[in-house]
Amino acid sequence: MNDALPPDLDDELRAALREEADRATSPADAWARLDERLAGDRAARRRGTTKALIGVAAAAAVAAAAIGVWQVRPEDSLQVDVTGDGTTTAATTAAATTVAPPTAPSTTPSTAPAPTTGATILPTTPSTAPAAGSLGALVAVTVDGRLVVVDVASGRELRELAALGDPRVEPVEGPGPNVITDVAVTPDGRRVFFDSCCEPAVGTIFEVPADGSREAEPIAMGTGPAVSPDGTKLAYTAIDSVVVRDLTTGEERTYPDPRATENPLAGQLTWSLDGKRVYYVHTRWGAPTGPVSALVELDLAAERAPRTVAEVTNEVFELPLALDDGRTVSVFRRAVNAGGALGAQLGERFVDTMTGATRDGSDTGVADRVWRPGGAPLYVLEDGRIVSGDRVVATGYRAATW
Amino acid sequence: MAIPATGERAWLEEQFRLHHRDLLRLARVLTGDDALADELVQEAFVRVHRSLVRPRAGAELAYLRRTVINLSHGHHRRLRVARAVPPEPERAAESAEHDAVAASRRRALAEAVRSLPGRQRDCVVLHYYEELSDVEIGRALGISAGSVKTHLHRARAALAATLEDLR
Repeated sequence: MNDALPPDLDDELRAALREEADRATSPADAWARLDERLAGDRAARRRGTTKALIGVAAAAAVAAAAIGVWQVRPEDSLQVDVTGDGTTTAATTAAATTVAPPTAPSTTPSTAPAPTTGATILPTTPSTAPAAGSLGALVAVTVDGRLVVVDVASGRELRELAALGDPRVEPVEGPGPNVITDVAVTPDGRRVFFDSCCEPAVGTIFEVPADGSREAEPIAMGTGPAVSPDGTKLAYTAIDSVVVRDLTTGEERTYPDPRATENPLAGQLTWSLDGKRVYYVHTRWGAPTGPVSALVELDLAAERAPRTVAEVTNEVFELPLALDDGRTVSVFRRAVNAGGALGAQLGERFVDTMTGATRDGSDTGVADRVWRPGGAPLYVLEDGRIVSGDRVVATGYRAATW
Repeated sequence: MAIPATGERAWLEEQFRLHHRDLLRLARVLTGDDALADELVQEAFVRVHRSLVRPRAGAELAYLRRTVINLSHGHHRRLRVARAVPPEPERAAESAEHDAVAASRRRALAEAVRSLPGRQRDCVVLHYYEELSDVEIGRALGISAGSVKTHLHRARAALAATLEDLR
């Protein structure tokens, strides 16, 4: 390990850094100052409801924009007030009402294009899509980062469930605001899970009842919550592992992925219809040929490492969705520019997880998508429209589920 | 995993008592500045408090350490321009009576470590100061042990060049 160094440099480095550490002086009032700051935090939570904080942050953002300085810092932005006094309450599954009771079938999914703006193309309904039928409401994330319930029939917001931060607000320095990136709902429509990504070191998974009867509660550290089709399990990623939580008992099992020792997992999970497997995307950055992105299958019953089902180089997979034929997973491909930045979405790829065979679709412009057995496919397009079949349900969103 | 209604402050105070000194020393190595080190460590505890979810038992120090390192990246971004100016030999005189030259050289070496690119700096500090293994460093930074080796190799090459300039 002494490569490229004079033989004595290792010792000299250690001595230099130890000396530097020894120069640290610990202020006598360090805990008192921290305690005061934390008390201020707790008091702020007591004073403000989530909506009030939204108002403050929005006003601050507007004011900052007005003077040409866009620097709402994370501490200025929004936080879910768990109980109003900075503490949390016990979880419960007993919500008073459901947000998404099954209703009569709505419009039949169609391949006809929706009204378009710009170059967005309405995704075609995969051939394996379930029969038409919609639910009365969906849970969506607005472009300014609020988690809300939307009435499908009217497209109106019914209620707000949480708000953490506006992803459009760029901090001048340091980490950005905690923003909601993924959202999942149990099949009975009662329990909503979402993540806030990714401070201080990893994201936080929250649960909130869909009827808005309680504030959101943090339940785990991780990203990308995904509820199993039968509603009994929650999967999410935690840096180098997939974690599966039994939603009845709260017990968790961790499935490490050796791929993730270098590049952590970043959510984007989808369950197979039978609930036996979880699929997700892992991308390895830094290879000379560009990033290598893999669609990975985790068989929950098998005692083996997750296996790669499909792989691309110098582009990345995103938005995996297990179709209800039980074997096909759809992913979107996204270009990577020369500098390593993400480019345009290239199109949809259907992967047969049994044979590895693939076929490509041509749809692009998709920011999020989901469907559940018996429901209509739901797409959130990059221009903010939520589309079901050939119908535009609402506009101004960047993620949704039902 | 949620912090219970009672005991939140006590838990944080205990974490502070256990880890504040170590984190402050780490932050001092990363920043070279007492006030900034204090600020980073305070901010790390605030972030943990705001996260509302406790790290796993036994993983608190690793979590706080990672937060301090992440926060130090913002500090280094701010100071990138300032770093172009050679550090002031403010305390060289203190060491003069023993070995002024060696002390000055070690100080310059510490400053050279802080001037390394972010990941290289993290790896050097965790390897030479925290005495972590490549695997432990990888776990702390979310990168592979192989990447740690690569970063350390590049950092050593850069530091060797710096040392050569100091001769």
